[in-house]
Amino acid sequence: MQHLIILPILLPLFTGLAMLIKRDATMQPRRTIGLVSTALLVVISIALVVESSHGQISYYALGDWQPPFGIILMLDRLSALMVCLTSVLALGSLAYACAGDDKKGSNFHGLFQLQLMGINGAFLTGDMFNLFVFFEILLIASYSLLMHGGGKDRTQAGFHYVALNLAGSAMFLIALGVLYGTTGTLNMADMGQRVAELDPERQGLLKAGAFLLLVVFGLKSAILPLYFWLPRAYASAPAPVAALFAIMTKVGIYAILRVYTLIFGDSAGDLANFVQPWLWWFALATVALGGIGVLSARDLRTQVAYLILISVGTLLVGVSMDRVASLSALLYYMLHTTLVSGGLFLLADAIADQRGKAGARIVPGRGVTQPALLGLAYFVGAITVVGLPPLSGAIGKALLLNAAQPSEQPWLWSLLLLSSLAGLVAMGRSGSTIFWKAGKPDPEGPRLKPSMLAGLILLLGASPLLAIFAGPITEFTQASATQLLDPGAYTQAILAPTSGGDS
Amino acid sequence: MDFRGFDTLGEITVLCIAAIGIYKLLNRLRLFMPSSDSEGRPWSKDLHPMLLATVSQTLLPLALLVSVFIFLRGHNEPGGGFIAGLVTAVALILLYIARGVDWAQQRLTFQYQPIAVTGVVIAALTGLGSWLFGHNFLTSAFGHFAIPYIGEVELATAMLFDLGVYLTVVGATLMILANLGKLTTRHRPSKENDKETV
Amino acid sequence: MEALFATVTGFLAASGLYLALRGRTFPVVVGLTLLSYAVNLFLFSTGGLTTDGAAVIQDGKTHYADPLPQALVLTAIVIGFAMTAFSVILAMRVRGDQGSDQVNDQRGDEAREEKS
Repeated sequence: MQHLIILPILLPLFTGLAMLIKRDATMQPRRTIGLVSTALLVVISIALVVESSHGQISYYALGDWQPPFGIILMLDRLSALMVCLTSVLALGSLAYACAGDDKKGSNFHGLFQLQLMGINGAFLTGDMFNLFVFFEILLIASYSLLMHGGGKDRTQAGFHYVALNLAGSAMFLIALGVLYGTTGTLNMADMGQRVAELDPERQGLLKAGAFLLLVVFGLKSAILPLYFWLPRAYASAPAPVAALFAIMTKVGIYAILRVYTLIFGDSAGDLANFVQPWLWWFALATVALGGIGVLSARDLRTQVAYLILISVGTLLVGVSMDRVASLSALLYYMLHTTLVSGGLFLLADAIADQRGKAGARIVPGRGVTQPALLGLAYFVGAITVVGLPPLSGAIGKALLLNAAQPSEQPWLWSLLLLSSLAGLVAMGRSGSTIFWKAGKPDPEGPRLKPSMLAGLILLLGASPLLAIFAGPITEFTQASATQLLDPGAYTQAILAPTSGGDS
Repeated sequence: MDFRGFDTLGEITVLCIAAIGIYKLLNRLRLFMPSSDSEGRPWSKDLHPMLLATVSQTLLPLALLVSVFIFLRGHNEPGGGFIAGLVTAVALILLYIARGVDWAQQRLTFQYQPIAVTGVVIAALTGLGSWLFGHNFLTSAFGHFAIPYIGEVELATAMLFDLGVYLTVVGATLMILANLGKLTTRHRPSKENDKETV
Repeated sequence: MEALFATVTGFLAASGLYLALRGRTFPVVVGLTLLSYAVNLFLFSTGGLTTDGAAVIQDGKTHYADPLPQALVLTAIVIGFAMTAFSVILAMRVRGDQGSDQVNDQRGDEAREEKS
């Protein structure tokens, strides 16, 4: 179908707007509409994955302006995969939110859909400035969602988050200006081609712009010196929002992956792959720091936030190794870590809810009302997030460790395994404090509602599924990595009129 | 709509979300109104001076006329929905300043959030319209029509898109500023009187 | 003209950066706003500075300005406007919730430590 590519943007846009037109409508129809629309999004994204799996890169020219002049949306294996991941994560968090979190403030469902529109748009666009616009859509929606329900902690963490991201947006625009000024185009594929033909005198300027862009994406993905906003913002966000935020750092990683393979990839001449060595050290430092952070956390939510930091570092290590095996491993790991850490945020909230005053803090307190169910969920989540076999975390980490060359092995293996150990110790300690040193539970206490349970099962249950279907999934990620490392194919598909996509 | 129309759709979405997010933030926020300035002099008792009230009321139709003019010339020359929307919004906000929330609330009975959201819906639907003709999202079409007494007029789908931009800007700006101005009055946005606030 | 333009942009950006690093919320918001002004000016100039050039193709004109940065900067301005509005209100909300306008309110942190 001709318009399939733009549907993941338009569907949440229209659903969100329809729910925002009237502010004081009843909750129930909104929940139904939101869930149906998100489920539909999952179906669409699966169709996109199927379409992209033929290996063809297709594009959608908005307003019939052909590239490189107009804005295009670009569909390849990577973007289809990311859209699919987003929609599954969103379905899980939305199901959880429908149990009551959505009533704590106004307009939750509409904003949630618009946030999805921003994320999907960022994954699909093939134009640098349009990427900026979608970044802003997802940011402004995330600011509003972060404030959902109010509270002192949230406003202060929110102010840090907003101020840092505003500065980040300013830098993004400067970088865009530099890139446009030197190459004269905004289309990513076209830019990649022009970078190679660039006058050597202007290369310095372009390089500065590219580094600036790396800082911006690094801020979004929370790499080492730029991560300070993450633990507090994530720990104070409402649980379903925090779960959806698990994809936000991945938007930054996706952008790094896209820009530094397509524009500054192998075909970029003198500027080919120049950021990867930098990324290597920063990513390793992020892994190490995440490990320390996990051990120091005194609150379950902060702990999960630091686990996200470890995963960000791990993913960026994969980016910096820059070969098919490592990229394929990182894509598999990305699927796993996004869904599982989203699930853990939901789980932490459910535990906090059932423990009454003790909340999510890691101290002995009242027991949870449903120890068997939550304990099992925690067990599964902990095993998979630290990467113990037999679940998907182990497979992802093993693939990544396997992709390292002998010169890289000492650093990567030791740091990654040590951070996993730190995660294991921390998760073990907090689990035993919460579930074993617990007092008598309140028999009248809140129990998991069916929709909460559905959200939890969808996100945490993805881990065994990812492990069982590891074969076909790694095949797909391998093909995506191969596609990514061949920027020539993109230029061919998008700029050569004869072999153009279905526009 | 020009070749960056998709960006414009994104930008009005941002504006609309910002207004809704700000409404969320203002919910149940309490600010106190100082009764005197930093040196102890009391504020003027005359909250709504007559001169401003009279001028603002005369200005309103003129400002609306100007905004229509700017809106119409925007297709080929500087102007357009965004600036026209700002002009309208400023004229309406001036009414709030000159006459106070109570007075303005009685006369401006429509809600602002639906206007802002409807604006984005119109713009997006305009883009969707090109699907009917087998074109991609946001493809522009235009034609020349002869209207009796006025002469030949160029109409384009871009105008409809611009109307969406105009409505979003008016709705979002008023939603932000009017609610901000209400913080110290009894119309303060809060859960209880959710239905009567705009 | 290039030198003047560059100086002004640079000065705006420097002032914005200085203010953004202050410890109270209001200067931070003003600083970020100045920074976004500087960025908009910079973005505007990326197509090269031309005086009296036409943006749209017209008969009898040979001197053109690059229309793309103009379109981009319009979008950037609107987005900047929305973001500034949001951050101003957020700063007010921080002030209202915490009773102080410090970006890092230590009192809030200590209270949290005691709680845990």
